[in-house]
Amino acid sequence: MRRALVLAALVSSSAAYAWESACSAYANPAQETSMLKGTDAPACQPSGLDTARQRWVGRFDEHRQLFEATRVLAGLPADVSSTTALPVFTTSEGAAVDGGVVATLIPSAFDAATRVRYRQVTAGELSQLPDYSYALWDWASGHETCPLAGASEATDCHDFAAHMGPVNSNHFVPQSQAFYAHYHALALGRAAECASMKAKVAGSGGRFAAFLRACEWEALALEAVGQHYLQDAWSMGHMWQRWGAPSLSAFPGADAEAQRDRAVLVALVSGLFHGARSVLQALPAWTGYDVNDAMCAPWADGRFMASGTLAQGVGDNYLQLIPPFSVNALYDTQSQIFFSCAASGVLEVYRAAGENHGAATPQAGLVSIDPTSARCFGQRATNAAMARGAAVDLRVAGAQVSIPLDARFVAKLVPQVAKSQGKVSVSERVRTEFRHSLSRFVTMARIRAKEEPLSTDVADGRWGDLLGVKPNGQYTGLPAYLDPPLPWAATDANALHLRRLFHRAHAAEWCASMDDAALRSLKLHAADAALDAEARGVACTVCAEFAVRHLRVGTSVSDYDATQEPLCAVLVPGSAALYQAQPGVTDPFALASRWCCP
Amino acid sequence: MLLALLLAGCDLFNPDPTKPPTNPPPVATVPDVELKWLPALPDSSLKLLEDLSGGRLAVDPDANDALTALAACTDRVVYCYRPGSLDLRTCLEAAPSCATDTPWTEPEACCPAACKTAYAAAITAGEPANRAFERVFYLEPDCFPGVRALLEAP
Repeated sequence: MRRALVLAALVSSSAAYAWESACSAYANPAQETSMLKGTDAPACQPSGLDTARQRWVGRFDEHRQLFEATRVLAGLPADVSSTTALPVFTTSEGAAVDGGVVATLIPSAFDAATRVRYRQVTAGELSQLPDYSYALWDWASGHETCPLAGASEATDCHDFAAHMGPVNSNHFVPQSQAFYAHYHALALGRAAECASMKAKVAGSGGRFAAFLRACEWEALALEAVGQHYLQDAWSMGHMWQRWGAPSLSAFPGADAEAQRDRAVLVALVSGLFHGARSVLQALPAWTGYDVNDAMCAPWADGRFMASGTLAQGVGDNYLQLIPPFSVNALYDTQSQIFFSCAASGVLEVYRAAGENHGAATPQAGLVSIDPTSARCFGQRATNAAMARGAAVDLRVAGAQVSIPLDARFVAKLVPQVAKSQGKVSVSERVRTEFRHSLSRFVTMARIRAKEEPLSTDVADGRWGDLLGVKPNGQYTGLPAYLDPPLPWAATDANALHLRRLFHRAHAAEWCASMDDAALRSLKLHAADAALDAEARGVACTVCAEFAVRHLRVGTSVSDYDATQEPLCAVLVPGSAALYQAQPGVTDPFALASRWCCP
Repeated sequence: MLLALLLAGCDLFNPDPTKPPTNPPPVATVPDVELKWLPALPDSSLKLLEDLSGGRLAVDPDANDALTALAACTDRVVYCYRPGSLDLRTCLEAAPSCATDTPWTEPEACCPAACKTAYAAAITAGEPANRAFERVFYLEPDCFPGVRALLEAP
């Protein structure tokens, strides 16, 4: 979209329709999360460039908090939550994005790397990723491209309100189930590779523990991304079939712009049903109010059905009301089922990977549930809850005010979309269709709430479309921008970003593909006289990082220290071997460094 | 301020004045459309409901056309509706019938007689009450003057 789609001054960066996510620009982003949480820091700019370069920690990092609570329940060691500094081998070239230039974070070919940058992050932070990125590869490549077809510029593309929100129907049930299942499968697939690696290096005396942990960390990162969808499925505001699809092309419209316009309008309406505290609280005239807007805010009729059980629920911005964040029996069911699902998923991945950060010790009472099952995604808001969502609720000077979004109210709406000249009203035809369509829906929702308040047919999408956009359960299939299924092909550019960023996790693949010529290429690059000092240092680092995986301490295949077989010889027998010997030097890394940069 | 609307029509529910009514006169309280809390949109007569970088929802307090009239009719029925005591048909019948072909110009919310007839026919034919309501008023709104013309306008 056009560069002119600047964020309205009214909107905070937390204007996300999900358990809240947070991004903050800390002065020292390398600190542990516990330290960051006690530090004031400005919120990130909403553009993707900034969110990819900052920590996803802050006051309202509800997704991260949910992941951490899940980790504790699953009994994963605290070390899993330590801040990791992922080194990115990249180039010194700036990335031209939307008319500006930023230091690129896109991992480069290893024999072209001239800069190293560090991505400080915890696995838990990545449970917020779907609010900021389209996929893990998108984050890995610094949000420097736009993965969403029909949107052209990277900055606006990653603006939640402009693009990510309009296609976030996958954060609502039942679409969220397929997205979690996809990422859980990726995590388990990678975890299986970790287990394979662990079996192969079992006789290496722990020399390759860092690779095992890196592999496990990647698997947990993928699970964390998937957990976002599972977490959202248990937010009261997400327990319904919000209309729409995760791709703009699925929306009706003569062209991409018309499709996007409909996606925006549907998202605006969906946000009101969901509960619009984070958006409406920012209205200048409302900053002094307490916008306790259903369905996420706590309301007596904010209830859902899960496997035949009726339970009370809350959602975004109200995480602190549910156990274990507070002692509140009202939300026991919501908490118990969610955490059982979430912990089961995390634990399954961690155990499959080999428990390389330490043995898991799940808390007593953890109920094991298939996290991809209907038990974890079958919950639906009651008709009464949906009708409650069809209102804007706020407290003013201690008095509760509810503005019903009934047919008369919505018939007066003037929907506007952002264009190059600012926000303009949609065509009269679309406005009429919008008002008529929404009037129909709110009317039927309120009728059904009176007839069968505890049924869930409204949340189940049985009362039809909005603006020609169907309930999300009618859009199946995963979008092309998602992280690809395993195995990740070497020719897949998106997967290549991940294989390069998580190069230690993918050590076996790099061992197999890095032949003698590739190793020489790393060495030649490090010797390139045209490189500046920093670039040469980086080239030496990269070369040593990979050379050591192939390096045998000795002079030839018949004369080397067999007790120090390099990683690649263990993982991929027959892979390229490098022989190096220096009197008095037995450390393979020292030898690799000397070989790369004599 | 709440506008209490007494849905008149004892005669409607008691066609024989010599007998007591079988149903109590339906009474519905239909709240005014609540706009006073919404901030004004600068340089505009509109009010602001929701504003994000991709778009916004504003409200036109003065909107008045076939769709607002349709909404006033259906809200009148829905606010009246009490399953088990006041069904949709009863509430619809109790709503004032529109006196003109331009319901949006009438002084109070009304429902066209043609819609009442169409709805009664649907119920008599066995169509589920709520689905019939949706069809008559929203999916096939030919009984309501001006709605189809608005929907099909270029």
